[in-house]
Amino acid sequence: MSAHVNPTLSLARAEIVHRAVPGRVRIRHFGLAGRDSRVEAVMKALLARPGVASARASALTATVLVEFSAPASIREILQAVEDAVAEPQLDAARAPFAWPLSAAVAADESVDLQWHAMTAGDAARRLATSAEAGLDPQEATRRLAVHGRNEIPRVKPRSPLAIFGDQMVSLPVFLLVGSAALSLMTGGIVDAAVIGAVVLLNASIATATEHRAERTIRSLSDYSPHRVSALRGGARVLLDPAEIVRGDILSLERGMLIPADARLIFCDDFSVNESALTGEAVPVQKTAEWVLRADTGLPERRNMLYRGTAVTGGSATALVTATGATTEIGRVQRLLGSLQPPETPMQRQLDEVERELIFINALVCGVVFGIGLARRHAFVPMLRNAISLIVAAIPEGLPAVATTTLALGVENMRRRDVLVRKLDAVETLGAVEVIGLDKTGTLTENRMETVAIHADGLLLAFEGGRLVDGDDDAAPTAAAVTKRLLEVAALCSDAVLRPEGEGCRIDGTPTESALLEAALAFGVDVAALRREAPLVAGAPRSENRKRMSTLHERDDGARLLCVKGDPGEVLLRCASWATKGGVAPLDDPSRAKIREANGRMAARALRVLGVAICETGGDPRDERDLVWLGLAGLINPIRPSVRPALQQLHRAGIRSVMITGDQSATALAIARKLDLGDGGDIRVLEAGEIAALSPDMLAALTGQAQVFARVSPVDKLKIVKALQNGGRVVGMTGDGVNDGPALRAANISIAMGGEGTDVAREVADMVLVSDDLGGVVEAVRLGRATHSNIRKVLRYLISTSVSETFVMLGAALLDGGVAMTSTQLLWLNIAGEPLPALALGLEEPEDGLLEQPPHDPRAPILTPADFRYLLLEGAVIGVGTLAAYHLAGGARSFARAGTITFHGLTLGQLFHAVNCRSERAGLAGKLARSPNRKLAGAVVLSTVAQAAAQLFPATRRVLGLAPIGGRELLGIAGVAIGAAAANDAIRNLLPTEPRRAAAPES
Amino acid sequence: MVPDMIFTSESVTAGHPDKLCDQISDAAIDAFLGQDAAARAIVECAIASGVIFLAARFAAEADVDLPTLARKVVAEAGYVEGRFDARRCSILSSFTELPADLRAPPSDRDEDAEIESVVAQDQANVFGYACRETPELMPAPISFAHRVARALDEERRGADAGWLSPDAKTQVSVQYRGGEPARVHTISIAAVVSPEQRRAELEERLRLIATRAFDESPLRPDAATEFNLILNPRAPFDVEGPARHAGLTGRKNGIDTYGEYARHSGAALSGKDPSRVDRIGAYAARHAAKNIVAARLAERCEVHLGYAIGRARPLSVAVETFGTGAMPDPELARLIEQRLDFRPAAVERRFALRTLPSQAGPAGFYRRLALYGHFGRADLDLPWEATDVAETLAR
Repeated sequence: MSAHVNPTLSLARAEIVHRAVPGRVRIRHFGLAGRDSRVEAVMKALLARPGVASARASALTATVLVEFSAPASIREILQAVEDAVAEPQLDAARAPFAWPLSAAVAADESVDLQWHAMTAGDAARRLATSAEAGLDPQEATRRLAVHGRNEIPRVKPRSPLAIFGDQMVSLPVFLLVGSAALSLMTGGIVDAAVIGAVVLLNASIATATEHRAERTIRSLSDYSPHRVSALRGGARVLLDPAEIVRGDILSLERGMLIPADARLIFCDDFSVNESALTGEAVPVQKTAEWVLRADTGLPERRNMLYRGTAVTGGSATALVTATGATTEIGRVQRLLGSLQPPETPMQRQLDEVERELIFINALVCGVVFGIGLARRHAFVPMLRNAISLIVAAIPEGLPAVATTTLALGVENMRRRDVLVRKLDAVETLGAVEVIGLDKTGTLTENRMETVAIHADGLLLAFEGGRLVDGDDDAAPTAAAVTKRLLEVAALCSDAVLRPEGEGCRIDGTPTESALLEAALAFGVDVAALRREAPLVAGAPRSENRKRMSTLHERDDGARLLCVKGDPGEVLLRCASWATKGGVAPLDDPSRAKIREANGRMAARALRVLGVAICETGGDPRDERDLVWLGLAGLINPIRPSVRPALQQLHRAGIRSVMITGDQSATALAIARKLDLGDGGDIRVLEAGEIAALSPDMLAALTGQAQVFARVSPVDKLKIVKALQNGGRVVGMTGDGVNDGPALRAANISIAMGGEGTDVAREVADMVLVSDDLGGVVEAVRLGRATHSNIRKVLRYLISTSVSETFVMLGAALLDGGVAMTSTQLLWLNIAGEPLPALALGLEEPEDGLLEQPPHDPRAPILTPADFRYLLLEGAVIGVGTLAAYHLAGGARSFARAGTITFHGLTLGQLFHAVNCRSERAGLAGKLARSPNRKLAGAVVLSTVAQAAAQLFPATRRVLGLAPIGGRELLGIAGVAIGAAAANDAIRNLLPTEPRRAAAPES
Repeated sequence: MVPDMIFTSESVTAGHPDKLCDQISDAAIDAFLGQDAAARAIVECAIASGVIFLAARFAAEADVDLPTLARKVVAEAGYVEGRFDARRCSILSSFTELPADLRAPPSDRDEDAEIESVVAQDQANVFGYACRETPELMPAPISFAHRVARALDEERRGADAGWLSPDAKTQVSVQYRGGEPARVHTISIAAVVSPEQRRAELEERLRLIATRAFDESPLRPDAATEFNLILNPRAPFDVEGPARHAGLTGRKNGIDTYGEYARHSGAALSGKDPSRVDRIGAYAARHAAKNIVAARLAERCEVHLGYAIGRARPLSVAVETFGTGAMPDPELARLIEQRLDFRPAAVERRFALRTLPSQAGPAGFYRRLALYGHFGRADLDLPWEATDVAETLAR
């Protein structure tokens, strides 16, 4: 095998990634990727060279960091890396890169893969394809069969069995198994069985929920990309990107995600953002003609395109050279991109909480055990008891709570047309503090609308067919001129009017469609108008002719010359203008006035067109002596959903900022319409050069402005980072074409799904399918609800654990007795805890979630104050139970007291679950809240189980329960109800609510 | 006034941060009034750490692109390339739109009731001064300081620019004998110059520019006039301008008025539309003082107008002629009060303060006042500099 040189490896070369610091260089060599043996060889070879001070290589990043001084040089080091990687090794057989695909390629095609070093023609010959006709469809099918689909292989999902297995390897389970073993050894077969049941039950619940969560997570990356236009057998076909094979000829244009590695054949002003591959935010200009040196590094390969990069401008035809896992990004992703769901910050926190709880509980159990021994209880029952207490008190599956609840959040959002592509996006959404809005494609629609008319020297607003001057309807004279203007604009138009049902449909460019719509809205019968004055000649718009002219002839032979286009150009050809007093000569002051109006409309971000007419006809190619009718101002209307959504976000304490490449005036016009200042002033930061600002200054400025104007794609990234200053959580919307890096840098990126590009959908963490910004509000609400649900679950699990510990410890201190047997504790663990906890995670979002400021993302999910409160709640339940235990006789009449303790504590905990439903309202309010059926079911089920345990002699025997009568029942009810009521009272008595101190009472 | 003394006044060139702020503020006022003569606007500007902060509060039917305007002013002041320049600087602008009914539509009707209805929006003590020291009837020191500043700006805009930074300060000390300016005592220039050229050469050049600035003046530097040239005061590669020191609208009130030779109000002149009496009152007071001197009713004259909030007519009109008056000061005060209407709306109409910007062309009207002083401008045809009522007063 040593003779086999992997063909893809021959492509890889040592490249300098970073050399800004003298005496340090970071080199990347893809040959290192995933090959630990190579990494070792490279480090050995480097350190053997004189002058090399240190060398650190990583198989994960495929880079080497070398510190050196004379006589070593960067060139020598590069050579050394190459030599060391290239050295044939026995491990080649095991190398992850020696996948069969490459072998297949090597077998039937040229091994030489230096596509950038040959002409496009040569490349096409090598790949046996033709730039004109593309691949033969049959050959394409064959290649697809041989090379496989153009997909990057994914990590296989874990099977339920594997998940179940994973559940078995955790600290709580080890403790449980240890305790079962002890029980067996000491003759407690029943205990061991119950513990076994606990383990199985917990693991089953966890497996079921995690399996579901994983399925959700996997489906996050499922989305169908747009089809790609390709040439096959001389015909243009639309291909599923996965069906692309080597040798396919692709047509690429702006906004597309390049589906495979390719050599450019032809391109027109083509630029690509390769940040996904190189990290470089500035788009790279590509060119097809160049043939590059073989050793050209990947970022400099100007004639190549790489999968996963985004087309930022122009169009191109390219020849596919690599697909699927053999693409550059495929190789990188194989190293980094397993789809194992990453641990979310919340999971990490919960892990920590669990560890701490285990530690504390272990201590308490030690104390209980110690006291028991001191009081001369038998060693073995005491030990079993202590272990059971640990088992009962540990909130097993705490980390799973986060995953499950977050996954449920994702599914919830999907039902509301919000696709979330990352699990922790839900968590992040709940904590979003700033949302950055990209204007294009997010705030504005892609169609246009006529909003302003300048006629008869008056600048008028055009609102839904109404002409408005200030607050009133415009003067009839101005309306007459406007009507004429719109008639002319409707005549001088390529837009087609098709009757459709009741109304009609307009086909045309956005500008002409908008003018036609305005004419219809203003009562112009466009169809009749066009019938009466059919077109006889015309001169279209062109590069050097920024106007369109049409000549129309009426039945009576009268001719009309209609002109519309660039206001300056049209105005030059006018000799008079339409005023309220009829047609008047166009003198210099009037011209100046019109130009000024044009300037003002342009400053409002309008696209402005001038309209003129000659009632006596004329040559459409040489218009002269026209009558000026006026200006029409058009705009990309703001999406209707934006303003209410922003208002809601503001109410929810989320700052919104607009980041745009537009001029300040344009940006300000939109910001005013959207009320970005939230009633106050609007602050616009027009950054000249952000790099020139000190980081502190930039952070201070970004904290001030609501609008960032004239922002370049690169600066967008800097602004997002500045917004994140101090750990703020920033969401960012965008179309991904030019702002990929900024989107990636944001804590959560949001794309519009309907009109959005593939790029946006690829980059974004969240896609709004219905293009409705309201989806963000909904997502924030669900994110916050999820966060609060996790808190509820924690509150329940931890405070009940505390109560158990309290009872056991209290009884031990009080009379040296054992309040509950180990079996009872374990039963409590099954009957009392898991179901209500799960149900709490499914609580509907509480009202008023969007009237609160976002929670502090830096604060832990449970603060020390929260813990103190939980401790108090647990103590209340514990003390209540202890009181009942003591009144029932305590250690002296253990059977009775233990039975009351057992039932009281279980029911008290179940009641407490209801209390945990909300952090705000009192118990009555919680009961009145829209019911959580799952919780009700869980509580009822658990209560029934509890009753059954008491009713059946068998369970009674196993659990060691005494028969109960009225007094006992009274005691049990007293504990359960009393504890819940006491906790409710405490909640109301506390001066401030824990954590959400600022939250209004509902 | 002490008969024998040396008095120094200063001026700054277009690139001084304070003056940049004044120019940006007034360019904005020009833009608002140019589009809407009824506009009300207050535009304040600050420059710090190379960032321009703009705060505009306005009620106007106008679309003004303030950041672009500010960049234009910065570029025209000479900051085209460098640590602070028009292209790279960042601008944080705050826009507060006031209710549209606050606009002040100009009216042609000269009804007294209407004029009376426009009252002072705030208390203001404004002063106008005139004396016979220069042809423009200005104190000599400030007039000379402006001449030198203007000469420096012209040199910088010239073909051989580049050696002189846009930010410079000039100070001219005039020696008075018997109450009259007798000679130019000292000319000081603080400037940053190109470190590449020989210092002696540049000093000679600056001396020449400063001397030539006095060509038209009756009083010129003599052989004994000292030249105090402070070049690159901090380091050879020093940068001046906004990259180093901060600026604020309305901080150069002395330079805007009489070079601290006479009293001036503490309120800024720049960045305010003509409905603000602290601005136009100063213009009216100067008009009155200048006409008294032009009518030979006094050699030196200071007019004080005291406006009170909520009233149209000034509470007090006072004249101080420093003993040079042809009649007692109170009589002069009565005279101007009879002949001139000092009510805000009257002043605004008399000087056509709302319509001048739209007629001023691209250089603007108010913006040009923000440099080289609001008074004694021979280069501009300012309504408050006209001696149109001198004859009426003399009668």
